[in-house]
Amino acid sequence: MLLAAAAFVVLFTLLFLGVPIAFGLIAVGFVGFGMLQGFVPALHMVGQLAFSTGMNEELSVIPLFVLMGGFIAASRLSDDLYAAANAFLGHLRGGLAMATVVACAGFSAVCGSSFATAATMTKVALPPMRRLGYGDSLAAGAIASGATLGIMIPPSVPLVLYGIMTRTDISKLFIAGILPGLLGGLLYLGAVAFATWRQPALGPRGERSGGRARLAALGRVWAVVALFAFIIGGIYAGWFTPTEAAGIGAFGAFLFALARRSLGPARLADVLLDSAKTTAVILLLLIGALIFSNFIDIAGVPRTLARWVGEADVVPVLVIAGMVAIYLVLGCILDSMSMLFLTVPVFFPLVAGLGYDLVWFGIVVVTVIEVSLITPPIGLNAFVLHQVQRDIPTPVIFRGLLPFVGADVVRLALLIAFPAIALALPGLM
Amino acid sequence: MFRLLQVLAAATLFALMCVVAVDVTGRYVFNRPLPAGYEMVQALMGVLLFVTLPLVSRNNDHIALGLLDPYFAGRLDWLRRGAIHLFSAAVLGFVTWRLAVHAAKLAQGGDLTPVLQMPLAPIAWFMAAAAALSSALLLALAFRCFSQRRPS
Repeated sequence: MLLAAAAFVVLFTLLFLGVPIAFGLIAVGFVGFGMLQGFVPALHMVGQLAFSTGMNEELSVIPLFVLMGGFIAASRLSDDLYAAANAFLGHLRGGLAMATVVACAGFSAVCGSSFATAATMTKVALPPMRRLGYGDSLAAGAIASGATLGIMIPPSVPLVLYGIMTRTDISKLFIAGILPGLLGGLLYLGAVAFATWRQPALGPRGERSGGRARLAALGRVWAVVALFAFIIGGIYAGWFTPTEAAGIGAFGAFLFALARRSLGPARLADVLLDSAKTTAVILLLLIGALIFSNFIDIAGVPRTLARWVGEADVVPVLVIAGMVAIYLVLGCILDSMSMLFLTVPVFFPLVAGLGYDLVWFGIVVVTVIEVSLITPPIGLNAFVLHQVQRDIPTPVIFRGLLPFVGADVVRLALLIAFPAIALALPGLM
Repeated sequence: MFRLLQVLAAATLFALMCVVAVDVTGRYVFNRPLPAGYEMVQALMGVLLFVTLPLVSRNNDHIALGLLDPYFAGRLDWLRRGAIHLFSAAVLGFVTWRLAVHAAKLAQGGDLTPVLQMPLAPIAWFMAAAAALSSALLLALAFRCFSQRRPS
């Protein structure tokens, strides 16, 4: 346990100095494992894990879903999604911001990257909101928070990684993410309503669209909505494994982008290469995380934690609340990937030991990761937005995000109080 | 060389997509899946990760935190960057070594994939070679930082 504590200190020092997370994890995990189990098994483990993770069939969901997102992003769907959401919501008070939340949720769900969504939707949704006199804070808040929803709504790369690390069924995790993702979206709409109720000047009403305009707007996005429904429905019905769904999703998105004539050979090469790079970065991280996780495991960290909790004799829900509190603090210093990879190996055996469902815990973890993307000081979505739109300072963005962070706190509380929000749908599979 | 790797990476991913799509369509529409779809996906995954590794290692584009970045400046910052790249190169060099050992073991055992009877050792050798290249690139990056010239 002492060794594990020292390992964490060394690891954090390395990471804070700027050593890539994957390399820090591999080095510390290997040395720690070697000191406990001997270096011969440790050496063997590194070669074996690097090879088998590289050859893992299950992990092919990651490049395929990333690729699907790349095609969707390249097909310039964002404008049409926003127009469609706007046709239905624009006439409400704060309606454009609500449409932004919905379009962000839809776009990030299929595109899979909250940063890409934040960057894209800033270009799409901010100009119309400014034209109508929306406050920058609300406009930026709606974009930055809405973009987080996609990492929960399936397909979700963090849920795949969580599933691999905890050996939890990825199909179930995906299906479990649907309701909490939708709940998050609804609560964000509530946050917009709340913000504009307190300060109506923040979000004036837009024009009401007629039925025909609404249908026309829907006509331009139905194909992607149908593709999304098909792959998620297919997973739910048990037709596809996540890998198969990802393959179909990527291929469908490829055809979709071709049909919209937005995919020339050069663009295609770009999308493929970018997706390959993203995959390599994630998989190398995963190799590091698995090595580190083996060390954490034989160092007895989860067992020791479980014993402490047992001796302290507290209600299990308090333990969960404590973990969430730790996550919220860590979210201020770590990015989402390191949060996932550093904490899950430590926490999940304890959570399972307390009798909680690991599918549910995965959803909780992804929720806190979403929150960490929009909380100061390093809420990355705010910075991405600032990169695209230099004239909105980050403090303004974080101020605009406050009601949305509030909505997330409510969602977390609901998830913990009613695990059925996550578990009801996978229970029916 | 990078051009070749880029083309290979893009082609591998495209092939991966096609294999899975054809496999699934074959299975559900024509009731005839690709005979070795599973193994092809495995092999393509291995190639994809390692063919791309040098491309992301070239500028050390791996995810890092760097919360202390603002506190370093000038010569000290170049030293820090150089040290980071050196560390990364060392870790990948280590991984290279272990992959090579693993490859040698697979070659000795003559391990084959069950359906295609494809030998596993060449894939492991390929992984080791790609990791070695990545490590060398990081080493070059480290030296450029230590000699204080701006890395490209």
